[in-house]
Amino acid sequence: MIKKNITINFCGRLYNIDEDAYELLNHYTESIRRYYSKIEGGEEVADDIEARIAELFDEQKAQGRVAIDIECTEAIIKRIGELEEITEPDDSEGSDNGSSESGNDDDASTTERIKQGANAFANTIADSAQNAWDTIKSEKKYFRDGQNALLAGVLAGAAQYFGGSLLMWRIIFLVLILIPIPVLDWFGIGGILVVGYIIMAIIAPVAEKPEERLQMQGRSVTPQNIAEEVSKPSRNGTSTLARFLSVLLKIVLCIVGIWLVIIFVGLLGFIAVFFTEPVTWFSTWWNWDNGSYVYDAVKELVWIAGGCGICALGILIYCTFHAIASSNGKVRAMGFGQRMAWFAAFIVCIIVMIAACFKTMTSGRHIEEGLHHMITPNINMITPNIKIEYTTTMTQDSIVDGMDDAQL
Amino acid sequence: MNVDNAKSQMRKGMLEYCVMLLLRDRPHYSSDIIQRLKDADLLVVEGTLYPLLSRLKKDGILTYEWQESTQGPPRKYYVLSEEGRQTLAALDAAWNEIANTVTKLKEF
Repeated sequence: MIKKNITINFCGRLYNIDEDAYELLNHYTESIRRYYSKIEGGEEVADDIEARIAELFDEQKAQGRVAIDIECTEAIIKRIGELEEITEPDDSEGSDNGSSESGNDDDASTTERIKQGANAFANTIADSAQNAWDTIKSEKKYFRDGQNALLAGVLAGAAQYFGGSLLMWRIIFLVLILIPIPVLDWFGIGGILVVGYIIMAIIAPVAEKPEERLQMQGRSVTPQNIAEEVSKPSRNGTSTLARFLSVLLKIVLCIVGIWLVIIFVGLLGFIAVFFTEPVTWFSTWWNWDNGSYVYDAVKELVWIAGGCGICALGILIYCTFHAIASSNGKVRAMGFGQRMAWFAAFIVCIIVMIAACFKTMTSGRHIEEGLHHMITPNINMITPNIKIEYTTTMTQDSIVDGMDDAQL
Repeated sequence: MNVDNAKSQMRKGMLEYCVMLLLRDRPHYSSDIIQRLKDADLLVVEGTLYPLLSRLKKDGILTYEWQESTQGPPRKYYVLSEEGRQTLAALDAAWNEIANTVTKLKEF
């Protein structure tokens, strides 16, 4: 097995240490430093402990060990003790042993027993409520799980966060996307899920560091757990069939995802086209010259809507591929700011697109009204006013011309 | 009753006293103290000693001085202060008393 080895400056001396061992050591010393920084004279305790670790490293070096590896670091941490073992429990140990002593069985009447039973029941409920509360309050955080990811690890992260088997999550997700459900039609659920998946892939961080992986699993971040997590083989060797299936599933999911995203953005584009349709429709159908001028005015809006739609689509596709690549460890995952910036850009694009569509829609209506009046012979008299209001100056000119002609 | 727990409580109570005893005759480097305590089966994890030394130092019971070392960086050598010696004498008396009581109770 090959491991990356780095040189660290620890307590003023240089050590060659494996990268995973360094992670572990760094976390350990950091946690000690963080704890003791709050205590008077604590800095010195942390210094002393670090000096002791360095001394033990020196011992290892003297014994001929070239590089400090994870086992060695684990052994040293075990020897010095985890933070909870080291800290002095001076005032944290309250003694409460007066709660369960009123057990005189002499006249334990039925009511008494029922009371006890009810108490026990209430306690169980209180306990489970406490447990649930603890889970919410605990360090468990949502992360995308890169190690178990097929695509971006959103579902793997969900399985870690909410529990349940990953396979079940995947099956339910696929069923909801792929199987048309009559009431909640095709696009409704499937599109929302796919777009939701992509948004999660963009905004949720991927668990990269061992601490993050532990937080994702809801395990406490102790050196022991970190050591376990770090020394775990990153991706367990799966069978050829499983690998083949996962690749197949990936391809299918990619195609379906891209397809659905195109449908989603296409639908928004279609809304724009739909509302501008009356203009083009009228101008071609009636072969009305003024129609084309009206269309020109609205055309910019259509361009804006289309441009924003394409930008949004581009952002989605880029970020999805980035997220997939980062969950496979091929690219460095985006930082928080970067993710938020992309997300904001996406939202802005969508908002501008919708606004442009809406604007197009309202202008389209006015034009439609205008045209409607124009083509109705009975109200020919009103026509010029409306034309002046909603159409171009050229029309006005022609009207003025006409009036001039009449006067002449 | 949890024997291990009681044992660790006893050890904890004794640890300060034992550290002071070790320092009675001559200054010691912290790793030497660790070695001694470990040999005596008084210390489970090494890290426990450092907060304890820090507390004793804060209470004025011991001080330390830096000494050059032939192997590696300078080391802190812990010394019992005058106040520490007085405290140790008091603790000696207390220990004798406890030991006597326990012996008596055992004979009884």
